[in-house]
Order: sequence, then C-alpha cells, then structure tokens
Amino acid sequence: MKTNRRDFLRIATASAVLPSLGILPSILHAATPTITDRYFVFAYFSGGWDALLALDPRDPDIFTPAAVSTTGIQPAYDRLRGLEDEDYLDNSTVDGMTFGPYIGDLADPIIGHANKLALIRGMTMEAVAHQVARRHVLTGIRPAGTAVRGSSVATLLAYLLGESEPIPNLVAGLSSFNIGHPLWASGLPASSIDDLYKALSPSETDLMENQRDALEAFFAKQAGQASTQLEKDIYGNRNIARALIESDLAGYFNVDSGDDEMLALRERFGVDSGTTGDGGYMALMAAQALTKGISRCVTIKAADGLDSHQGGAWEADHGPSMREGFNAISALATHLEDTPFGDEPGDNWLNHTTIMCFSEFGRGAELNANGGRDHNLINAMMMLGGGIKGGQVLGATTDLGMMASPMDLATGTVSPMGELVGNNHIARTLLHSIGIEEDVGDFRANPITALLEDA
Amino acid sequence: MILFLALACGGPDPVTKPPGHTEEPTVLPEVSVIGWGSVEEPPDPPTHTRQLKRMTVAQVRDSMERITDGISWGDERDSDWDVYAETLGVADYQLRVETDRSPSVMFQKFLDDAAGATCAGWIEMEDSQFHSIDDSSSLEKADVRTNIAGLRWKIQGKSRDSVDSIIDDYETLFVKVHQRTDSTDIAWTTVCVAMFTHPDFFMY
Repeated sequence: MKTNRRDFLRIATASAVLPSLGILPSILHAATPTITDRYFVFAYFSGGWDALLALDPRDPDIFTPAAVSTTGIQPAYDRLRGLEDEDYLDNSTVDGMTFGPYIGDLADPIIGHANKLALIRGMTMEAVAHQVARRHVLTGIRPAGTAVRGSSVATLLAYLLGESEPIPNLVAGLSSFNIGHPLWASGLPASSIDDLYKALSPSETDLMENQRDALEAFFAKQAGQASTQLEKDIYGNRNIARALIESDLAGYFNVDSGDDEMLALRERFGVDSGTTGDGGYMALMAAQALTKGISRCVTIKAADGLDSHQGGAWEADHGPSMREGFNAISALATHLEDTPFGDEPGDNWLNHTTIMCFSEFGRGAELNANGGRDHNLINAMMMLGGGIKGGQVLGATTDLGMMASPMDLATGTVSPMGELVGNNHIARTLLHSIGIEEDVGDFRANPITALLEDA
Repeated sequence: MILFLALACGGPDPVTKPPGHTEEPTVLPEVSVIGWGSVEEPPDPPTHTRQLKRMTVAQVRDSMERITDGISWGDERDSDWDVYAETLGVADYQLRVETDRSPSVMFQKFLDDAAGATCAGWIEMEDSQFHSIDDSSSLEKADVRTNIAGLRWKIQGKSRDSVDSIIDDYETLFVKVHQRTDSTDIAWTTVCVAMFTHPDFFMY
C-alpha cells in the first residue's frame, strides 16, 4: 500500500519545518485567517506593459499628436498595426470603465467579466529595473538592491491558509521567495505545464519498486542523521519530490493526453486556436491546480515579451501579446465560474479565487525616439474574482503626463488627502481579504478597503 | 580621608633589616606530576566554515557525463538538463539574472531522473569503468566494499581509503536490492543512483 501522500508530506517536511518556525515573527503565529476558502492566481505580464493599450487608455481624439507637447500623453493608436479607428477604445458594460484596444475577451459584453473586475490606476512602482521591480511586486516590499526582504506574497498567503493542498504554492515562469516560512509554503517552480507534468511523473527510466523502496530506506536513514538545517532541507525537498510523484497528480497536467476532458480544456483555453499564446497553457495549468485541489496559490506568466523599447516591437507585438494574456485570464475566469465549488448550489470557483493581473512597471506616456516606449514608474493593475468588489475603477492617472494621483483607500476615488498606492498596499489588501487585519507581512501600508467585497 | 588618617596614624612600624642581610629562599613544596590520562585530543577545527553550495546545472551535467565516460541524460545534442534549465532556475539574463542553486524539489526530482538513466547506461556500457573489481558479479563482502569505495571515489571524490559509516549504508542498500532482485547489476545501479542523488555529490 502506498503511503498516504499527505502523511508522507507531513513526515517529509516535519524535520525541516519545525526549526524554521522558530525564526518566524511572533505575529505570524497569531495571525489566523477568518476566510479560509480563498484561492489566489497571480498573473504576470512580463516585461512592463503599456497601460495605454488596455487598462488606462486615453481618447485619441482629445490626446492628439498635436497636443502631446501640452498633455505629455501620446496614445499613438494610429501606429498600431492592424487596428481600425473604432478599435481604439473599448467601452465595457460598466459605466466609466473604458479599456484600450488590447483588453481582449475580458471586456467582451457577452462573456461578461467587466462587472467582476476592478481596475487600479495611477499606481507607483518605485523601480524601473525589471528584476527589482518584479521582486517588489512579488513580495510587496521594496528589495534592498536586488535582494528581496520578504517572502513572496503568494508564499505568505499559502502559509497562512494552511498546507492542506499537495502543492500549496505553484509558481510557473517566474521566481518565488521564501524567507523564514516553512518549506512546504515555498513556491514549486515550473517554467511550463510540460515541465510540471514531467516533475510530477515518474521518470521513463525509473527504478523498479523494490529498488525504489530500498533507496528510500537508505535516504530515510541519511535524513535521520541530518544535523544542519541545510541537510534537513535537502532531505525534506527530496521527500516532497517523491511524495508528489506518488500522489498521481501528473495526469491533470498532461495536455497531450488526448482524453475528452483535456481536449475540452485545450479548446476552452485557446491553446490550439492561438488566441491565448503560452498564457493559455499557463491559465489551463492554474485552472487544474485550483479546481483539482492541488494548489492554494498559483503564479503564472500570462504574457511575455512586453519590453518594447523599439517602435517595431511596440507597434506589432506589444498589444497582441497583452491581448493573448488577457484572453487567457478571461478563459480562466470563465472556467472557474463554470466549475462548481463545494456543495452549495450555484457556488463556483471564481467566487473563491482572487485573480490579480500585474506587470512589474508601466511604460512611458510618450513614445521614445525609436517609436517604442521606455519603462515608467506609473502603472495599473487589475483584480477580479473572489473577495474583489468588481465593476469599478479605483484611482486615476492625471491627464497631464499620466502621473499618479493620491487615492482615498476607503472609496477608491482620487483625493488630495489620499495615498499614492504601491505594491505594499496591494499586498496588505490581499491579506485583508482573508480576514487578517494585522500587518503580518510588514508591508507598512494600509489596505485598499474600496477594493474588497465585504469591507 | 578616614582611610588616609588611619594609615598615617596607626599600624605597626615595619621591621628594619640591617644592611647586607639576605633572607633564606623559601623551599617550595614538590609538585607532583599530574598524569594526562588517555583522553584523545579534539580534532582540529575545520579550516573553513562556509555554507555548502549546490553545483550548478551545468556542473552537474558535465560531471555526470565525465564520470560515466560520456553518457548524457536525454538527447546527446540536447541534454534534458538544458530542456529543464528554466524550471531548474538557470539564469537566462532576461527574466532571471541569478541562478537558483538551492537543492530544490525540482532539482532533486530531475537529478533522480538523470541518475536513473545515467547509471543504467553506465553499467551496461561496453568497457565501462563502473566496476573496480574483476568479478562484477561477486557478492563477497570485501569485493562489494571495494566497489563501493571505487564508486564513491569516482562519483563523490571520496578517498578509497576513507572510513565512513555511510559505506555500511551503501553496502546494506546493495545487499537489500540484490536479495529482492537477484541481480548484481540492478543492485549496483541502485547504489550508483544513491551516490549521484546524495548531497555528497551535488553539494560542495
């Protein structure tokens, strides 16, 4: 009989976890979420997205090329390849929620996600170097140089919400950090769904069962003699790797299996039609990891290649790449909405899953000398799903140079008495959304209560 | 002040010694020699205490290939180590400028896969240097231990003369697998996998 996977994991990690707990801030021990049926997807748009093209557009009839010298804003939609005038702005079904030309299916009135999503405009990111800015978003704390000063928010949330899932924190396509939290809360990295499938599958040249049993007995003895934390972590990770294979999860990520369920998923996530790019596979992976009870937090790379400093890349590729990412997120939201959650009639996974779409920073409001856009501190973010009060736009950028405006955190409106919103506000808000009011992540910012459904 | 007054006014006069007087030296009692006993001296402190590092993916790949006389994991031209490089945290200098060198779950999973494939290929290889004994099917304790020492030397760089309790563990592993499979090749392959996936190989 196979060892129960959860017991296996518990045994596997116990020796590594317990010493780690001792160095946790004492406040973490006291923090207990009041909402425990919440799941998270962090969808990363890699390279720094152009908010003018989707989340924070401007009317090109007002912000004309002739007015750039006075407004400092250059939508330049007419330079984008393959667009007609009528494509420039996408008015959603929500009053005041206008998108740029590449929001994709998310604003489709038939699909109808607009009333479930919240836009946060006019954020300040504090860094315009990719790695630093990315680590800042992921951790909610500004790095010291490039060195992170806290765990990923996903790691923290996974830790707070418990270890009942086999892979509490799945991270695909970007880094994950764990500073002082138990080993089991660390992000399990996989650059693609294929790699995750391989990681969860026995090797094609795997040992026979009697070889494997003897080998694991050998390593169990070595683990028992481990004296340093590093040695304990090594054997703990080894046991987790074995336990994941034993748990027979691989099939959920075998996109080439050809079975009916997987074929339906491939169609839903647009992986064969090309409407979602690699983001479609990533979103499919997130959907499976959540709805099959495998993960609590999933971080994915929804779109890639957005670092468009050159005019050619910005005109031809940037927008379509963003659109593929948003299409993937739209498919994910639809799938979660169509998947029943628990025994409550009518309840669905989207009600329990918070999806956060982000990029490390924004791009300049004016084109650079090459016709592309350079990095910019000012940014936008989008959230939808469980715990999020949808159908609203929070904050704003100014009509002069697209600068950040202070926001009243309770109402989401621009207010001179408000605060400039950054990554630490978002991180604190996510903790608040599961009922943790203490600043257990040391974010030193207030939550944006206007963003939350039950605030 | 009171102390000064007391010193100035009270106390016996010092005895005045005549000039040229010398005192007899005090004879010290004999000191018995204390025996040191048979306590062993403590070992020398380590000359360095740096944190152990994990090999990079390239180091692991190259080491395994050299140790086994060129056996690659996966396709010879496109090693699986390179296929899984991103998942294993190898820097691409675009998204990632630092290489992950932690002994992570993913690293150990794929190392296990690589070791399984490599060891199976190595033992079957023509003119393989796998064995350090003439009779590779020998079950004699001395031969088994000699071969374990040889494999440790080749894979983990441990001296053939080193005495370590882990040698007993490898021997137990060999015996157990042999008892269950009746095959020395399978038993040796398992020992080989154990050595490649042990931190003695990939941490330094």
